[in-house]
Amino acid sequence: MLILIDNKSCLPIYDQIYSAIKEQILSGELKEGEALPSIRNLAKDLRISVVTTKRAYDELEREGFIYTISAKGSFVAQKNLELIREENLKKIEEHFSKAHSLAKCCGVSDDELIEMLRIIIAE
Amino acid sequence: MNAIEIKNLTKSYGSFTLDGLNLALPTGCIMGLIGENGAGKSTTIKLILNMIHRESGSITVLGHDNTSCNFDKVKEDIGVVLDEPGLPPMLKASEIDRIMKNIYKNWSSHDFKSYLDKLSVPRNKPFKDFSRGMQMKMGIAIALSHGPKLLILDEATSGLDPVIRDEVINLFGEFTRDENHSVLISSHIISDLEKICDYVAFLHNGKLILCEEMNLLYEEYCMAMASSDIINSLPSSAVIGKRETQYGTEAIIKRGYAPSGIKTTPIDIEKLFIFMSRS
Amino acid sequence: MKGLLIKEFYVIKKYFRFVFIMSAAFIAFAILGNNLSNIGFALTYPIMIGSLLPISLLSYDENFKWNTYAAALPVPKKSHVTVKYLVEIICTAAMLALCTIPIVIYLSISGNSASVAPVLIQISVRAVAAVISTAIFMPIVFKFGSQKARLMYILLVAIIMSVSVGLSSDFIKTISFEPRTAVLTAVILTAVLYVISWRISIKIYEKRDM
Repeated sequence: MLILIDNKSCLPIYDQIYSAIKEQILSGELKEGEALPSIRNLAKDLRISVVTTKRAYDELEREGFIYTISAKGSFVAQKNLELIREENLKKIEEHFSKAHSLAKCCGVSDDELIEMLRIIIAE
Repeated sequence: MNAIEIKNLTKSYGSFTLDGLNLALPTGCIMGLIGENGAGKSTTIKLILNMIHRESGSITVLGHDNTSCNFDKVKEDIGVVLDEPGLPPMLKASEIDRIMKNIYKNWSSHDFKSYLDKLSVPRNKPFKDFSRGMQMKMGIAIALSHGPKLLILDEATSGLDPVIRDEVINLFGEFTRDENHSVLISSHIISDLEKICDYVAFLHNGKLILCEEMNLLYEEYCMAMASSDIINSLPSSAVIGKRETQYGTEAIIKRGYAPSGIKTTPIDIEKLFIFMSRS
Repeated sequence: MKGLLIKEFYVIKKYFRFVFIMSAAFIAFAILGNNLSNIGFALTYPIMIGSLLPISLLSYDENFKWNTYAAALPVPKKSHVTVKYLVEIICTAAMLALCTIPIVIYLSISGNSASVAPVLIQISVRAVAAVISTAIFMPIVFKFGSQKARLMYILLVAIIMSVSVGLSSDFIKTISFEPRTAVLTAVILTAVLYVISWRISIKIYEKRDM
């Protein structure tokens, strides 16, 4: 499992951990049923507070990415296809938003933008 | 349960008063106690260990009132490193081992020897020939070798070079992999505390001016650099402190109030403490 | 307690080896020089120094800042006091043995058995005086620290020792009751004083801030 924390970033650390683990679950790098390190061990290895790792895990559990068995630890939840689809749809929307903002910035009209999309799809 | 619970603690020494201190160290956590010289850190630690008598308030350590008659037994579970070494200067490591074996029920000579090796503490030199750093390392080795549940460290890393400090801080971090282990550490070297603390407490002039999860502080506050006009236009409750120069103002502000377009960077705890104690 | 005793003996081994050697030398010279009339002097040094050891140990503790460090150990405060009183008993007993045994053996061998009893009385009187000085002084050192106590000590020990030496020679000459009972009474009184001193020291030490 790869978690890279940027101390200089303005993103809260628990958020960075949450995102990193989520990405790897969605991309399949972390397999279903795989055990995650304990909250304490992760905190000590990353040299951050236990409170932070707990928050990240709580968030992941709330959104259904992981589940916890007390005294055993946390595990990657079954791939919830709905969830993954939702996530990916969100990402596509974000990309579209960015493209749209950029187009507006440099004077590309909406019609031109749609035309560009059609060409890409056709390729 | 809390490893340490302090309620309404008061102690006066002439010009200095520790005034109604309320502090709790949750089990399994590391709390850093930050304060200027004379702020009351060592006094607080000595009061926790019942080495000095308090005037009012209560202190509970590992579930026991620290003035109860069985508190001496509770000290079996507390590893202490104070800023003054206190060991008779002629003692060598093997002699210290022999003494401690007969003082602590759970003393492990094996752990002691391995900590001495890990920290490169010489085995055959008398204590008086140790440098300050080595004396602290010996104190740390002793504190870790009797199976403690709580570590209380008063300036335990002062006098150590950065490499050893990192190793020692690591040891304290490792100590809390066990969720029943807790650490209270006071230090001036705030960068050390930033590496491992879950909570930080700011002590200033005998008063607790802040006690918070460290990562929440990073989320709640940020450093902003902007012109003095912009900083001064913010509500005063949002500005913790600022430093004005002729080239602009550096301020610590609450994140929500950062005006858009202003560059913000994460705070460092040391600056936060300095700004807070000034105001 | 055992750990504390071990620590005291490491300190004694380092700083007081000289004392034991000197004491042995004094006794040896007294015997070899056949100078039994001056045995009083030879006895004074070992017994006095031996029983004042705990007070010197308290002074060393102050220098080492041991008291602050030791307050964090899982040992009740009263044990820190008790160990000093134990050391006193052990060292005084050791010194008494060091003095008594060679002298008694020598006197018996050299056909001077009659001198044994008076010598034993001299030894006992000195031991009693030394232990009383220590019993008086320990609480003072616990309360005021060794620096302040030192001045008072020199005065008081001088007085007590001269009184006791004067008494012991008078006892031998004008004794109207069994020297043995006198010595026994003195020893019992000393023991009682010692225990009282111990309790007082504990109370003083428990009140102290480290």
